[in-house]
Amino acid sequence: MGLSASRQIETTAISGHLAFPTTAQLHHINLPVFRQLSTPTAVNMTNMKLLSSDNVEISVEKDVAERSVLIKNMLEDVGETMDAPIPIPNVNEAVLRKVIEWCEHHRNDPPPPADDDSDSRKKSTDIEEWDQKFMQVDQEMLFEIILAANYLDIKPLLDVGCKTVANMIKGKSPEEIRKTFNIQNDFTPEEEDQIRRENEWAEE
Amino acid sequence: MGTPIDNDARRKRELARDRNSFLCRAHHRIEFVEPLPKKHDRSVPHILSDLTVGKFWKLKAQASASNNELVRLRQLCNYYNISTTIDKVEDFIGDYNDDHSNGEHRSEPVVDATETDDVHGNVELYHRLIANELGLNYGLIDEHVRKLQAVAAEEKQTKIGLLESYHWSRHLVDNARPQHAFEAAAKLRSPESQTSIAGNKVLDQGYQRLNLMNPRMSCYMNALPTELLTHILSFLPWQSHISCFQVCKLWADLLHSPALRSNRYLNFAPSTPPCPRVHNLFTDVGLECSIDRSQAPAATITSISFVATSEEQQECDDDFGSNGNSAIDAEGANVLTVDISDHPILAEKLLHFQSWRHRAAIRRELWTMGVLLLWNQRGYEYGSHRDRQLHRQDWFQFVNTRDNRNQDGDDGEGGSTAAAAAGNNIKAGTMDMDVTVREFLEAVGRYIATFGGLGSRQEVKVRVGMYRRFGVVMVSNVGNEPWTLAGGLNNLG
Repeated sequence: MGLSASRQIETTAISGHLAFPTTAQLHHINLPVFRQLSTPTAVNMTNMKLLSSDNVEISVEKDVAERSVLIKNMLEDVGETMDAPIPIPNVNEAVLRKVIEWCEHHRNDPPPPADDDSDSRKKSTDIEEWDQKFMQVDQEMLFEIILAANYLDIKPLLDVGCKTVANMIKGKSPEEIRKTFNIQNDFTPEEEDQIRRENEWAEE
Repeated sequence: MGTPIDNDARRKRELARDRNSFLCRAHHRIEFVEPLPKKHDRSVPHILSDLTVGKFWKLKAQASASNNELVRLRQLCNYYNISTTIDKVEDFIGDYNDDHSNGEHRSEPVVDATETDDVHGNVELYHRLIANELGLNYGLIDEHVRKLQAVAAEEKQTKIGLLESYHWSRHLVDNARPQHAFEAAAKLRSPESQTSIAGNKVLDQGYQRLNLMNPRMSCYMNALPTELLTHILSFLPWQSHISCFQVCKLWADLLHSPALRSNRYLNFAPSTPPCPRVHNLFTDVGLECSIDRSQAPAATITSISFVATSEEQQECDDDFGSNGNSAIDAEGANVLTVDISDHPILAEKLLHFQSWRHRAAIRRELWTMGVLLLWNQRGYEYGSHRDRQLHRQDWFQFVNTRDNRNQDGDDGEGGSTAAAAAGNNIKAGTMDMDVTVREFLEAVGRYIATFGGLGSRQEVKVRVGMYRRFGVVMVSNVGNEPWTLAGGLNNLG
């Protein structure tokens, strides 16, 4: 029964309909038959596998993967290391590897405070040097990383990504911002004129 | 029906309302105008079969379609070699012609190349219907477009073929994922798409739109869920918000949302002083109030202006610098003031005190909020350091609620009789602490008007927080470290 449950997850993942396994499904995997197969000789207890949206398995150390609150909570629910790869249905291989690279570099960082508001008044757009280099990617990758960090619940990475984008906005005129991010100006000329008049006092 | 962008923004807002988490999950991130695909593995024959059988009459009803539609359907079926569907289409054609021929049976309707508008509308429906079926699967749509172009080339129906392929491509530009939209946009620019006058006309409109776009990429930013966009904007100082207001409607809406508005002035932490001890509210710009004292003590603010010059910042640096040299004479400086007395920004909530109270660090301590005021007793003209006066105004206290201390704003030992004389109702706790910028400035003005050192001047101008290194609002934890003027200045320095 446990094997069939794990096979069901694999089949689901490979067929393209990548539904994230429910906790109930994961508990099925831990039935006695599966646990027997998941001995330390069969599976490296410190490693686990992630399955990207394009069906690529990526091996990653457990403590690195646990930078993701989503994965960490899931593993806690399961209670032990999984043999079957964990499908990450919204993140493709390239992005997932980038995310893992970030997690590996920051594996020893202290966990972020649980209170979302605790640092809200200390917001700045300062980014440490390594992260700045890490984020030197094209816009598509940058936004994919942000989405992946949000999905995987890696708040520090999400903040780094958002700060990077914020730094790209800072100090730019509206037209420069539009050009940078390829945003269409959907204001009518009248609306645009009114907004410009309202805000001209703040422009240099 | 709104524009695609309107629809997109509305759809994002609707989706946003449905989400419970602070930041939504990425599986909500693909938010196109068209519904998301239900099945990815549908083949083209199935699509046409469904379209023909299931939706044909709906299509007819919606579009008041002419025979041209039937011709198009048959062309599609021919090129996909769907014999069963062809039979059904033939049946439909026969039925249609029997019903509408008025005695003139046209089993082989001919496409009238002059019916461009009609075709235009019908093609619009076609691509919407089929796009739904294809689920915006780029590979299938691309194949479909190529076949349509082949049809047009072979049958020399250039005009219709161009229009249809253009619509498909534009549909992708509007709705597909960014990387696919770019590929579609590139095809719209291909020279072979410009062989028809009608096609050119439509393409010109497309070019105008495409010219607004960087041809090397697409708009990833506004494809983000609104929660993430809000999160990004929350890292910006309020000066950047001013620019962001003007970018597009979606951004303007987000910046007016409570989440960003309530923290607009709080989220950019000052670099030098410890936060939240010093809240550098007006550190980069200055606000100038003209106060009419003729009706003192009930003085009124007659105008509020925005002031910012680089000379002033230099003046501040010189004045408070280590050498103690006198400041630059402001009369010689290029001072810009813009009247913002009626600007809506003055109606925005300034300090969001209520949220402060609920933060753990503040809840457990006793905090006194004070205001440092700086003005020149001899009037507006700035002189040397000696001409300046520094005063501290206790504003109110945050009091530990667990100890059941008084929370009504009684400032106890740190109180100021001058403040009481000014009728400071913020301090007395009778005013909503979540004050607006205007309310804040008016309260400051009333206090200043009661200050004796102003002499007989009837009109006083006060500048608030125009210095980079000088915070206006001080928040002091009196429980652990009583605030002193010297200590406050040290922290500022």
